[in-house]
Amino acid sequence: MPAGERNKIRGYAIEVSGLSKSFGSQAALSEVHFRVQRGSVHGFLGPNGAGKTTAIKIILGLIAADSGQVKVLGEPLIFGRRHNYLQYLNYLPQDPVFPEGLTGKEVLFLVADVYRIDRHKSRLRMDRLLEHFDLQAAANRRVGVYSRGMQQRLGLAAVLLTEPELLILDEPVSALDPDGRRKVLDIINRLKGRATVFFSSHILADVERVCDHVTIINSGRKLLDAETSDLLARYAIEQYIITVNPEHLNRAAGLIRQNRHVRQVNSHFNQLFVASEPGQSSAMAEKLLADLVRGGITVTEFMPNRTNLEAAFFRVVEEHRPAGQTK
Amino acid sequence: MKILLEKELKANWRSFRYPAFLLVILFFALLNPLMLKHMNEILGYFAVGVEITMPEPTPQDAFFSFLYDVSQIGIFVLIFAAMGCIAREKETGVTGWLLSKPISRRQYLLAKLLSLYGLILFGIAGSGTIAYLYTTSLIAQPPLVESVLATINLVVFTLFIASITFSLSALLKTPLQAGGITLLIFFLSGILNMLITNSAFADFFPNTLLTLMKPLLDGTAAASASTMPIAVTVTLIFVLILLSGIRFAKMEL
Repeated sequence: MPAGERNKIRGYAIEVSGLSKSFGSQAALSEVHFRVQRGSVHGFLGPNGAGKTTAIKIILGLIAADSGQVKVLGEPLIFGRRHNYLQYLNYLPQDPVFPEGLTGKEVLFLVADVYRIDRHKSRLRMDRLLEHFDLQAAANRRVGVYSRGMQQRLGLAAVLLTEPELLILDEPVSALDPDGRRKVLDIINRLKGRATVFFSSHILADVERVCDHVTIINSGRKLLDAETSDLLARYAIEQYIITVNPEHLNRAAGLIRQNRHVRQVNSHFNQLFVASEPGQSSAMAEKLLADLVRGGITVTEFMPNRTNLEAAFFRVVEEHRPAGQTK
Repeated sequence: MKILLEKELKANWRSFRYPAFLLVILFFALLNPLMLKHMNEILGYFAVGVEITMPEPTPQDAFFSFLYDVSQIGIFVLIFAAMGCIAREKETGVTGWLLSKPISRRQYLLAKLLSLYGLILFGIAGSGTIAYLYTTSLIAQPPLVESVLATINLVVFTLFIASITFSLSALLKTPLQAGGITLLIFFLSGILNMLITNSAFADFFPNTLLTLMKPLLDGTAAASASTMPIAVTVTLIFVLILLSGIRFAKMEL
């Protein structure tokens, strides 16, 4: 079945259940479960050493899991066997390396040949990708002299060249400059619905920008698996920004502190940052504005301080920190 | 397979590993007949006032000195050229990158093995032909069948050492470990060979192939003398490759 047709298959591109892996006495993954919907852009988040690369290598069949099941594009993974799904998948490692002595163009030809892409078609795609990633001038140079950023761009070009059904990208923009990052994120955005992108990153702003689903892991354990929008809503920082007449600032802070739903109030110039108790932001906001107006405070601005993925991420990690463990 | 083989040849050629081996054995092919032919003049340069007369070189001597140098220094260079064939790529992550694509581990190993064996066969056959023709033109024609038989012994032994290097490169983490252990095996097997040359075990020891090269060339050993050592060595090569293939298939990368 051609890749284009396969992309129309519903279901999951990756299904991971009860995945555990230890290196000696060190547990890299413990009972990890998650599923990646076909056609989605799925972020895989976690601090360094969380187990992201280990999970990716298991999915690719490069290392064996101690226990658990993995299905990729509907095919169960059995370590040591050859898998058909590799024909429809392309992977970019965190620090791409290529066979020594080859030029950038030869690396791309090698990938195209391995995926059995027609030479004419691959040549056209190659030219387009080399131009897009500013690698045309370096295309005939050996990859050994490429900078880390160039190698990452070449790695991305090699992934996109095969137009895979599933792209597994391990920290795909870590070595890129802002323009390179923007280009890659734009491409990932455009792939939504046409291919499944599973990418790990610690640059949370990037994940927030392109991912419609995120899985957060830490110390080998899955902490959360949710739609990005749900995650942001669930872990909204529950903070309001209230701008008042500077003369009323102290009185307003006093009034706000009387609200039983308020957890913390900080002032900065003529603005008050008011955080609610968990899950009480609506109740707090409803009463707060009325109390301030009744108290004769001139309120010029009253708005929720929308959280970002970074704040949500740290809250998730904080919430799941074992008791007694300090930051 | 063709794609991977092409990649192997390009990478090894451009990194100068394969050319290094070829140049070294070509050097011996050209140097040895010439040196033997002019040995008396060479000695005359270094031993002024002393009368040294060497016996006239035979074509067998000239061809054997080529085979002998390849079996020592040539193999030494080959170990260095081959020790990282897999270990280096495992270390840098290239193996993981390649095997995340629709390439089986068997194909990956086979491409490397074929290119390495190809190098040995092509290199020794080519340089052997040059050494043979050069000896013929400088000294006299060495016996053809005997020269071929002795060269086959060298090829089989070289394939054996290459297979050890290859297997260790597949199993161990770094090229240095693979190369170091192969060199140790190479030297120890040479010492052991001296101890068992005249024993009943000699027929079952790969180094006997090297010991037989000169008698084969001189016609003092029958062609059948090599049958058992060749059979044993080929079996060992097969077992080595099979075991390393089985282990590599389950290796975490």
